[in-house]
Amino acid sequence: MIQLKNAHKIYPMGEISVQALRGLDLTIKPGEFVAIMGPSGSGKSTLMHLLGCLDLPSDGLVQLDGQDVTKLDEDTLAQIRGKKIGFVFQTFNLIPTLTAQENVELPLFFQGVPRRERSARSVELLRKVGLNDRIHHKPAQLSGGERQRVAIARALANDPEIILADEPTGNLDSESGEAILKLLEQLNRESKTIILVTHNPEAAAYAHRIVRIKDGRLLEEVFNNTNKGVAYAAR
Amino acid sequence: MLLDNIRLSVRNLRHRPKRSWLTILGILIGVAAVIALVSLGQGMQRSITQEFEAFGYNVVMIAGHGGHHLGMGAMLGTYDFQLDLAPLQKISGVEAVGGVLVKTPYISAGRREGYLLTWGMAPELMQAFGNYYKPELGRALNPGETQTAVLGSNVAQDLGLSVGDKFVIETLEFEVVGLLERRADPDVNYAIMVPIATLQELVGERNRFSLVMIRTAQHGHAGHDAASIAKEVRRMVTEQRGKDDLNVHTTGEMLDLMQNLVGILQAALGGIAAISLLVGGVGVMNTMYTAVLERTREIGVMKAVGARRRHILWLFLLESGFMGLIGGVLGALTGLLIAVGIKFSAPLFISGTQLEVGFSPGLMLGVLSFSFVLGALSGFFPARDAAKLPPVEALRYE
Repeated sequence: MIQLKNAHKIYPMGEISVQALRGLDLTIKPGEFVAIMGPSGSGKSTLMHLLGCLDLPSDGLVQLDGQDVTKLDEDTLAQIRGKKIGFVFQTFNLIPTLTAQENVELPLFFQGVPRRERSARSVELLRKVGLNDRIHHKPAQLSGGERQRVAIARALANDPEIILADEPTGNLDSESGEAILKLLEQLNRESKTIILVTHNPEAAAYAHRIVRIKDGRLLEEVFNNTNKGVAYAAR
Repeated sequence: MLLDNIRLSVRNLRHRPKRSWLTILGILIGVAAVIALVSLGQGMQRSITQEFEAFGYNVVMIAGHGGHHLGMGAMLGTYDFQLDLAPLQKISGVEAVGGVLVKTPYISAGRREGYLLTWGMAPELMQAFGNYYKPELGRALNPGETQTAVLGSNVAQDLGLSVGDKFVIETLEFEVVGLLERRADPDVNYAIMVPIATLQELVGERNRFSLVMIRTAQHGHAGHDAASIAKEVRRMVTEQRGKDDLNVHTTGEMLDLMQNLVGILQAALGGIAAISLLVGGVGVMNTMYTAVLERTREIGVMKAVGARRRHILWLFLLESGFMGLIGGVLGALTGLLIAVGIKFSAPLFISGTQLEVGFSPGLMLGVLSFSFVLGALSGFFPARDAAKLPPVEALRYE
């Protein structure tokens, strides 16, 4: 469970400072599939960074499973990220010098998992995302959809509770994009918490809850009980 | 875990082979220069020590002032001098006293002729220093002989003479009775050695010497005896001549002097070579800063998936350390090759030069670990910069 309480984020930009978040409250419960939407400059990325423990708020509270992460140092945060959160990026962000398998092994390596175990786990995950025949390929030898699936396998490496996907379909054709969303949906059914940052309504439709933000504040929350059928909940 | 880190680092180096190799080349050149110079210097030191060991440390030499040069023909003064050797023989601890007169008379051996370096030497002296003036073929000069000669290896070859052959100095015919073993000193290798009395007669310089050698007891050990005998010799020589115009030194002192000279030379050359090594280190640093910049996003990703600062630090440190190490290994090999190459090619340019290459495993090991440490040190600041990058900024980096 992730909780943001009255989160502020201010970026100093020379003389002036930019207020990216202006007191945002958000709770994401275990097993949820949440989409975060908003125009560019809305504070969407900043929100994602805070949820992913990549950055800390200027003011306010971020709690991960009841623990206040704002007091933690960088290395502890890194360890928490590695263990509890899996990232999927728009640009895949695979390490180009490493094979698919080695990319998946990377988060395990940073957690100090022994080699044999890493190897078995990474092969299992690549099979899960349907890439059993691409294990030893370098990212450059893979299609966009395949790369994103490697990235998802990597995000799952340490069996985190939360998958944080930032525009995962942004660089994909619609067919590959849909496959990726289906994969996220499946992971959600396997009780992973999915946080999807997107401005594509079709992608957001996979989520059970859509959070819209604007100017660093929560604009509205939409609950989506049946898939692709939308029900509004007034805020 | 370290092994995996090493694999990652090597992978990154191989990903940009041209730049990695160029950086390695910078280290390679520095290491090669240091190894080549130090090996040659050590070889030089070793062969000097060997020469002195063969000659003995407890020899007192008397020569005219000036004209110092390296080698055992050393101390041949700029002028010859007259000296009565008989009183010197009586100093306690003195085993043998003998003079050498060096001239360049006219030599002819069949169709080959010229003015060549000729040593008039007391046969007793040659035998006393049998370890140094060692016949490889034939024998040394014998007391009582007048027209026999022992040749240095180079001059024998140049004149086409061997044991049993005859040749002429000025007007007298000499028979070659021995060929000397090759020594590091070209003055010996190019010397024609004949009994001193005969040469003195030939050139009309009776009782004159270029050099007087006194062998003292405890031959082969460095000690205070030679030094105190030298003091006594100096006193007697000054008294006899009425002035202090001759150099009196022990071989032990000369060895120290030469070792010092070679040491200074070696330090100076090594220092210059070390500068190129330093430049190689700057090259590594430059490459690593570029690498950090290029892989900023990658660093961000690694941090996002759980890399701690030390992971990133090690990754880059190992990378730069490897470049240093590879440069060190290849540089050491290249340096040795250069040293051996110089050893073999030097005589082609300066005839008579004999260089030795001193290979020491300690030096190799030292240079290898130094180059690894140099690489890692050069990579330290870039690596620390990388490790300190905030993940969000690194991820956002285009």
